[in-house]
Amino acid sequence: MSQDVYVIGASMIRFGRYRATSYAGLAVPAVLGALADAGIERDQIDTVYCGHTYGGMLVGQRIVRDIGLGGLPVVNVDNACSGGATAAHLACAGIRSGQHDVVLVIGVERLTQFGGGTLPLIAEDPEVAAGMVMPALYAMRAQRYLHERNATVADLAEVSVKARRHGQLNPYAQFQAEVTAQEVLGSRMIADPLTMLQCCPTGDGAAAAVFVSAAVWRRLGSPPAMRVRASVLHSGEFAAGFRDMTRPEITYRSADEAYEQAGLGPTDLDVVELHDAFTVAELVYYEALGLAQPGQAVELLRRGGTTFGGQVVVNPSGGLLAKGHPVGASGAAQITEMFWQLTHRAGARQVEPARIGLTHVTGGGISGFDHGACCIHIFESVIQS
Amino acid sequence: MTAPPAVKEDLVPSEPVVLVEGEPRLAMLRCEDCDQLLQSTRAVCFRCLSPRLRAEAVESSGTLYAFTRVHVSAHREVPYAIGYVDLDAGVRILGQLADFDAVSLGDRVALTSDERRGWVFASTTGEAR
Repeated sequence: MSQDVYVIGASMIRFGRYRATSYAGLAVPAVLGALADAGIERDQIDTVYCGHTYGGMLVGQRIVRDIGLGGLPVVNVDNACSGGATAAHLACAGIRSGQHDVVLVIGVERLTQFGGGTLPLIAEDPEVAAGMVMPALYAMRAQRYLHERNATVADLAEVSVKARRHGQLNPYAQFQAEVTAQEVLGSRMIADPLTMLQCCPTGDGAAAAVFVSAAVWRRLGSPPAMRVRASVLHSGEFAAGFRDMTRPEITYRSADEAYEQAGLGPTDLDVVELHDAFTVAELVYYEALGLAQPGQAVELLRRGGTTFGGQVVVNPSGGLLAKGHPVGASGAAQITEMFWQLTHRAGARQVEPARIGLTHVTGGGISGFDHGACCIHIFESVIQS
Repeated sequence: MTAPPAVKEDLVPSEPVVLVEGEPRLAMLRCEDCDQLLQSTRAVCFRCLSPRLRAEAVESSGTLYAFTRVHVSAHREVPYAIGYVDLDAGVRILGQLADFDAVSLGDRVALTSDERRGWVFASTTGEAR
């Protein structure tokens, strides 16, 4: 019988541009916040998993060193945009197996080190050498999606409008101002048909969460928490030839497995944080996560089915489009948002009811895959009366 | 004692296009055991793991699956147009496009020579009509 896993504390910094701040400088406030929130002393932590992509050597050690923590296993996890979530996945696996009791999960990234522009990809990849950048990948997905689902760029714009409207309620979001569909479509073209306001921004950020075993959760007096119902990680399946870009197999497969692990389905979800790196992604993932039937995603968005008051609130934080997307930090930030939602501490953006939530990130930019990585978690609110 | 495994120099630039009777073709590898076509240099066939791979010049004709025009780059002149071409040979390849405004989704395309950019894909849908 594997152990139940609980998240008992989480924190993050506001995502944004911190050109004069190091990786440790970004992460330490989030780590201290998560520990204080959990009521855990640093010497109770038995392992640290730190997700990042561009942090370089020993980024986790550089962070915990600054809070006087050493001598314990620190594992640094690069899995592109799934880095922070993969760190959480490893924490879950370690606690479930009985190897760990108290795990600190960190996600951190400093994208302003590159000055701006598109995410640096792997130069030795043949598609990258041929001119692939992340906006181009999603732009081609958008072109196919619009073509096959009979949708328009105005539909894409509505994704950004919703994201910004949610972000306006989130003091941790990089962008906290609303935009109109006209502004979205009128912004600078990045990769046809995706305009600037349909792309997640460049930014820095950090988030941290404390994962514990059921035994530790009970010893602490069963505080408000979220229980892990599913933790799933997959890599992409290589295809040399045709691949349907509107149906990324990696998310379909990961979602199916997550629902099976949780014994739950898409209709059980109250709140979702999904990987809206570009507008089209949100519509594609409504279908992939089973929130909408194929071809019904635009309709679901248009009738307000995925905003406050709808059947499931998608990206109450503002998502990657408004909250920001410091790649290795995003998975951990989604988990932080979900923790606040499921412990009913999300303030003006609180989803009601918030009993079951799902977080979803993908990752990558290499040839032959829809994406290189995908990590999905399903959590359940646990609040003892 | 067995010999240490051989290592291929897969970063050595090779000419991606070869001319066969004046026609541009794509330089690829064919697995001699399972017939799988491989786009770039690899140690073994990804499908059957055979190391027996031979060079093959593949016809560049295919169908344009999706394409875009990129307006931001730190590495090359913008805008530039790229697209996924599903080659008739069964492989999807990302290629430069001759002209973003002169292609449509689902067009038949093939390689053609561009003075400035070298080998690029252009629509042949019009020609066939």
